[in-house]
Amino acid sequence: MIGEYQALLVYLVVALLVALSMSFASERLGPRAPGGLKRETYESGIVPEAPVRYFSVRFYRVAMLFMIFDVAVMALYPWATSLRDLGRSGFWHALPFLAVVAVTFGYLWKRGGFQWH
Amino acid sequence: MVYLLPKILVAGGALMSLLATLGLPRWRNGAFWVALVLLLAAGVDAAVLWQAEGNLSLLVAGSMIADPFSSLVDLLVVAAGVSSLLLSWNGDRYGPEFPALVAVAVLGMMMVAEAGNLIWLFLGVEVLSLPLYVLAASERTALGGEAGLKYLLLGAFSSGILLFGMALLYGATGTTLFVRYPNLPLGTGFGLYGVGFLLVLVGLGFKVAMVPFHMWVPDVYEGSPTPVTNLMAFGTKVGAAAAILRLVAYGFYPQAQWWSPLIGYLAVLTMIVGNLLALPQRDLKRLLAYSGIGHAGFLLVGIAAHNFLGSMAAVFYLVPYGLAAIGAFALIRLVEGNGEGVQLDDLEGLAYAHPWAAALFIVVMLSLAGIPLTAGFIGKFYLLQAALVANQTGLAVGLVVGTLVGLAAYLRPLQRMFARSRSERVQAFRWSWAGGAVLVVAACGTLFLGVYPSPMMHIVDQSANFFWLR
Repeated sequence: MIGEYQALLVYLVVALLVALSMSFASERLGPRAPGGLKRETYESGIVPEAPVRYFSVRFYRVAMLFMIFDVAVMALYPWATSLRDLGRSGFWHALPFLAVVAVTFGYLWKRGGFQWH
Repeated sequence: MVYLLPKILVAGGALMSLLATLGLPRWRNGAFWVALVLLLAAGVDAAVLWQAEGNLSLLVAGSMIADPFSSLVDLLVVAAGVSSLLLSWNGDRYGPEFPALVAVAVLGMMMVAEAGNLIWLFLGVEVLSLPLYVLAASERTALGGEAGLKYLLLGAFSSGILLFGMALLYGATGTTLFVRYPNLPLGTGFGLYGVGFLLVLVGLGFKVAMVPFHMWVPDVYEGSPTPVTNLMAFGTKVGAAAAILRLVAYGFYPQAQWWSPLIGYLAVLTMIVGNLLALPQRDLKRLLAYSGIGHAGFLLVGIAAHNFLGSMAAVFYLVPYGLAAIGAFALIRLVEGNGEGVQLDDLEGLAYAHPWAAALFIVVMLSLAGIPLTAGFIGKFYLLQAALVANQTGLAVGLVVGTLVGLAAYLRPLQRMFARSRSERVQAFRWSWAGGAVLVVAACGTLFLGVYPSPMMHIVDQSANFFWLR
């Protein structure tokens, strides 16, 4: 029983040792230069708008909306390229999905979801 | 397609209600009315389907199970959604998207109950949870934010466990269609398959508020706006209990010898811990949260009993519990007015200021406690019978002890209500038509079911008639 899992045990011990020694080494041996540029907020290369301590919630909103509509559009590409083969029924079956995407898009637009401020 | 109509109506309700929030400013309650009408239409359609469906039919290769059970669950969750909408009447403070989010949550609850495929089950759990995370925080109070965040984090955690269990199940069986599991040569023992099932059970246990996984319930129920708490207490519990029942009934019945005692122990623990912790609460919503935990235990008794009576009793018990919970939350909504939350002391003198509201509240609280002539008694009676027929005496004893402890907890608000206070804590509230209607319907339904349960028993008898028990 133990014999079967011996290799796994050795692997676990080695992994633990490597992980611990690496974090210990970087803690003890690594150079330290606090302050300076390191304290600036990194906003994808854009100069920060204000000295913020947290990311503005707007970034999360943009990221989330991008994710949602990106995935929605991704589902539409295969449909669009094979529409000729799918025929009439394939066309009608995708319409409810498109309606859902369109309604949510319109909702977001009207509620000001795409405005930065 | 015909079978999908209730779901399509609810989904359409969500979308149209979302559109209506953008509409004319003069038509302020447009979103509310659109969602309400479409939810009611879905309920009517589910009732029609319940009569039409003689027996079970599998759709999409068994991913969706269309049977009277799923139609009955559809009806129950629509009732939860409609009551939540009515309780939110004149609730501008919950935000314009409130009706749309309620409709989406109801759609998720419907999906969970009809799932025959793990993927469909997971999708349903997520569709039901995501709107509730938002709804829990829809009021911008400190408690509301805490409730939303806590629910989001613990909900995501439980979803992860659920997904992990599903992955193990898929690894062990090679299919996500759990309706096929009994046909596979898996044996009746415990294995990778068993571990997967346990993790799925934990994930669903979070949603149904089973005891080791119940920590989030009181804080989330207390912090959420009352209509949302109503939806969580009734709708989520119905959906998750239906999912567990469906899972053990269709996927795991050959292995009943090990999961039945396990769920039994958890049920006893849930009943006793939930009702014990309900005793010292000072906030009515927290008290109802712990009572909800205790009632999750009662539901699990029926599942653990693992016989026809048990599944029937569990499904039946959803109705009295739901009616009583709706009634209690309707009273909270009436008393709290524009404030948030009701302390037990706030009820002082209610019986003299508003005798009718007090009388209806007494009916639903006694039903929660399980006093004869109310629906709660009938439900507990059938559960006890199921436990005894299954020869699980421990379950029966746990049920009785849990009920006894619960009785003490439910009588405390009633006692405060009759207290003569010098300071007149209870404020004269105005009856809103919607909240009043919910309270009256819940209390009358409770009394009706308690006196004349046979029609409902017949419906449940037709619905919970799973083939594995014959």
